[in-house]
Amino acid sequence: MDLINMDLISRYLNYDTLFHLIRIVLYAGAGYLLVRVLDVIIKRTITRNASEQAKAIFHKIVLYSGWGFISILILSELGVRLSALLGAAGVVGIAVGIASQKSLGNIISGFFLMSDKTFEVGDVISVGTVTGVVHSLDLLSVKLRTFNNTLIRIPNDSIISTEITNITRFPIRRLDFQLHVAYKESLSRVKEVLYEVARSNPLCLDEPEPFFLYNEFGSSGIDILFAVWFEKSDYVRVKNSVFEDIKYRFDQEGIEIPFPHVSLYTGSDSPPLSVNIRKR
Amino acid sequence: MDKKKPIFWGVQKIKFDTWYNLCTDTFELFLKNEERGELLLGQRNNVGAKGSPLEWSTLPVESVDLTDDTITWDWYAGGKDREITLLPAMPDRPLVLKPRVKRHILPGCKTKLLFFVPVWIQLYTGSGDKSNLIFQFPSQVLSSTWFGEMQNGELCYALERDLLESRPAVAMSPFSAVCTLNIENGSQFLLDFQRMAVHVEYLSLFTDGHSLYTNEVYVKFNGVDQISQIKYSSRAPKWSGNITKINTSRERPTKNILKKSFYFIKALTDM
Repeated sequence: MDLINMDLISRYLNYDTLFHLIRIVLYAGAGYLLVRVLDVIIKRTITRNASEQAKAIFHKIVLYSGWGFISILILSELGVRLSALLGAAGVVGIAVGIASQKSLGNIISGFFLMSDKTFEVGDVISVGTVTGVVHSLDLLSVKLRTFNNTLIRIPNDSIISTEITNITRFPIRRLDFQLHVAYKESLSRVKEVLYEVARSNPLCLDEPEPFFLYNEFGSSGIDILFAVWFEKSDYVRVKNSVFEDIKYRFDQEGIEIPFPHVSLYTGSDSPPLSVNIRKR
Repeated sequence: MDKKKPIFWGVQKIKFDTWYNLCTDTFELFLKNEERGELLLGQRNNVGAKGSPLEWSTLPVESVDLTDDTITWDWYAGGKDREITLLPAMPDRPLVLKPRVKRHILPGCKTKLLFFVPVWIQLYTGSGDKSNLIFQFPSQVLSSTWFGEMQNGELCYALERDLLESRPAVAMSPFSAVCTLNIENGSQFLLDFQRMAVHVEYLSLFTDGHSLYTNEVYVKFNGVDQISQIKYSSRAPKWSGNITKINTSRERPTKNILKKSFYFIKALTDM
């Protein structure tokens, strides 16, 4: 018996097969180049000014559809009947579709989120009780990196039906301080001191001007809203420094920040309650 | 300060293992170039005595305390240059100029207004083309402000100043540069000048040996709803005497300046 079956070899390795093989390699090579060139062209033209996630999605669409098209060409060259394949793919597609309704919902929601442009990668957002930096905006979910460095995955369809707060959308923000001062304090002096705090802090913006509002006559003191404007990246520094400055200046000026307390009152005609302090 | 006293900008030759000190009214610098090629730089604010000599002096090695918490120390490796260059520079952000006294310019009139800009201080190792910027800081910390709309304005430094009509007769701070604004009211309405963003990053610095000057800014106001024109002169200001350029602008004014300025020009209607 011959070690090499020449008949078998000549049956498969003929001019026709070789021609098919060359065509397949050509299709694969040219297709690869075409997809890459198309990807570069799209990157430099259509998505040049687009956001990072839009660029990533376009890149994936171009690559996957390009490779899909090349695969169909190669299969056709190999003699596979595409009509049967597409029919089978249709059946499989329906089965997969039914099984992955949720995922499809997420994909569609992902497109809505992208077109909505409520946020993009790098923004700080709050979704429900979660706050973090947008790490990625994918087809199925949005991934947030929280400030204690954990990754949270939120499905797109949850996000689309939830209230989202984009904290860093605009370049400047207002930081509110809810303050309480004792009734005995001079309100004009308190106001003056707070404005001085804002003026002396280089991180607080001069304009828009700080905001000052007497909120209400509270149970333990007068409630005041004091707010300063700052550049969004300075949040922590502004919060800490203004907080420290207010406490320092209030202490310096002898302005009392009252703790919650209750005064017992026994009627307008009754004498004050006598309090005796005994030494032990 | 004595106006005739030469200011200390420029190249300073330094020896190895010697402390160099520069003390001003607002800051103090310490510098030592070590034999191994390391440069040690210390800086502290607001410690200089009034009327400091404004020149580099040497200090005994033991007089500088490296553990002093009031001094911020930086250490630079690889520098074997035996000279350093100290240069003034314009602030790194635009300034929003608010005149202390409101200015009004009648329709069709022109005016020339001058104001002082507190400069930044830049320290380079080496000199000329081979110099490397290692450190820079503002001679005066300015508060920040926002100019324009909340969504797309720009972060600026706030500068509330008296505007002058002519070159000041009094001696200037060595850390202030005189900037000249030429404003023309080309509209048919009274121009109420309340504030204006000046893109100082496009301005170069010049000196006559005593004081600092920037190149001039020309503004033509065409009306509240009209786009105004702004031009940053590239030449030295027209002061008498021998004026030379001491430092170039942070950003090179190119054709983009027109595009960049448009927002500012629109916002200029806020004047």
